[in-house]
Amino acid sequence: MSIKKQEKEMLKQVFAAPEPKRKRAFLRTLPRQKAGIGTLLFSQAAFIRKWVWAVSFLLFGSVVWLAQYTEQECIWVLSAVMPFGALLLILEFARSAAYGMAELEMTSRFSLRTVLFARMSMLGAAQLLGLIPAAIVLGTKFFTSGVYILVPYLLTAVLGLIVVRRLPGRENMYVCGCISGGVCVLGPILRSYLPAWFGAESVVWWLLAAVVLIAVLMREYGKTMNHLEELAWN
Amino acid sequence: MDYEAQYDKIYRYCYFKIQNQTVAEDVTQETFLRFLENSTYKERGRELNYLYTIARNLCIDESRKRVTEELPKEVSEDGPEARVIESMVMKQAMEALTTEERELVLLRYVNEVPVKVICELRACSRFAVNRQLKQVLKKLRETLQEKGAGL
Repeated sequence: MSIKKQEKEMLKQVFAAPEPKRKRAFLRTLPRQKAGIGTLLFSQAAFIRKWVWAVSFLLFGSVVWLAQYTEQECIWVLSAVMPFGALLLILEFARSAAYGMAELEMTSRFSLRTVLFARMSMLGAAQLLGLIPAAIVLGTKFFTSGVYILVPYLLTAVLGLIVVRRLPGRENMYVCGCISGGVCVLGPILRSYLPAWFGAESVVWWLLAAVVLIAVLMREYGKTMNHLEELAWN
Repeated sequence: MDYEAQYDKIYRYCYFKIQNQTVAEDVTQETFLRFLENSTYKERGRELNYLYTIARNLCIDESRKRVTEELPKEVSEDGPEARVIESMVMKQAMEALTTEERELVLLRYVNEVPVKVICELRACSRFAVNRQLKQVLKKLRETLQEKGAGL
C-alpha cells in the first residue's frame, strides 16, 4: 500500500515545525565534508571535455582494431600515435591556466591541484588501459610492445609539462602540438636511420629510457603542482 | 550527507517529540555535534541511522527533564497549530493514532527515512515495519473516510 502525493503533502503540513532560527549560523560552524576519492573522480570525469574522451577512445580504439590486422608492425604505428594521446592529456592539464581560470579554481571546494590530479589520473588511466587490449592483440611480445609504446608517450608528456610550466598562456598549446608532432615523426626517422636501436638487443635501453622518463615525469609533475601553489600565494 | 536537508528533518523530528521550538533546535544542533564527534558510523555507511539514534536519545533525555521543569507548549502564528487548521481533518485522523504510529508516519512519509533505517532504529524486521506502515495507513484512511474527507 503506497501513499498518495496529496496525503503526503497533508502529512507534511500536520508535522510542520516553526522555522528554525539558528540554522544558518549553526551550519556555517560545521566543518566542510570531505569527499571520498570515488566521489571526486566521478565528479571530475564529467569536467573532462567530451571531445577529449571521444578522441582518446577513437585513437586507442583504432589502434586496437589496427593491431588485429597488421600484427607486429602495428607497434610502430601505435608508438607514433602515442604522442597525440599524451598531447590530449597535457592540453587538459593546461586548460585552467590557458583560460585564466587557475587562480579562481585554486579557491574552489576542490583546489585546482586536487582537481588536476583527479582529471589526469582518470584520463591517463583510461588511456593506458586502452593500450592493454592493443598489447594483448600484439601477442607474445607484450612487455616489449608496452615499452615501445610507452616511451614516446612519456617523452611527449614530460616535454609538454615543461612547456606548460615555463610558457604561460594559450601559446603553449601550439608548442605542445609541435612537440607531439615531432615525437611522432621522430620514431619512423630513427627507425630508418638507426635500425639497431629497434632490435631485440636494444630493448634494455628502451626499458631504461621508460624508467628514466617516468622519474622525470613525476619530478615535472611535482614542479608544476608547486608552481600552482606559488600562483595561489601570489 | 546533505547537512542542510538533514537539519530540517532532524529538527522536525525533535519538534514532534518535544513540542518546543527553542529546545527542539538545541537538541537538533547537539545531535549534529555528537554525530560529527564520532566517525565510526559514518565510515560504515550508517550515518542516517546514527543521526536519528542520537536525536531520539537526546529527545528522551529532554522529555525526562520536562517531568521536573515543564516547558511551555508553544503556539505561534506560523507554527503548526495555525497551519494545521488547513488540514484539520488530517490532524484529527492523526490523533486517532498512537504516538509510536505517529512517529512512524513522520519518519517514513514526512522525513522519508528509508525502511532499512527505521528497522534498525526500532530493532525490528523489514517485514514488521512494512506491516505497521500498512496498518497505520489503512487506519488513517478509514478515519478520513469516516470524517468525510477520504482521498
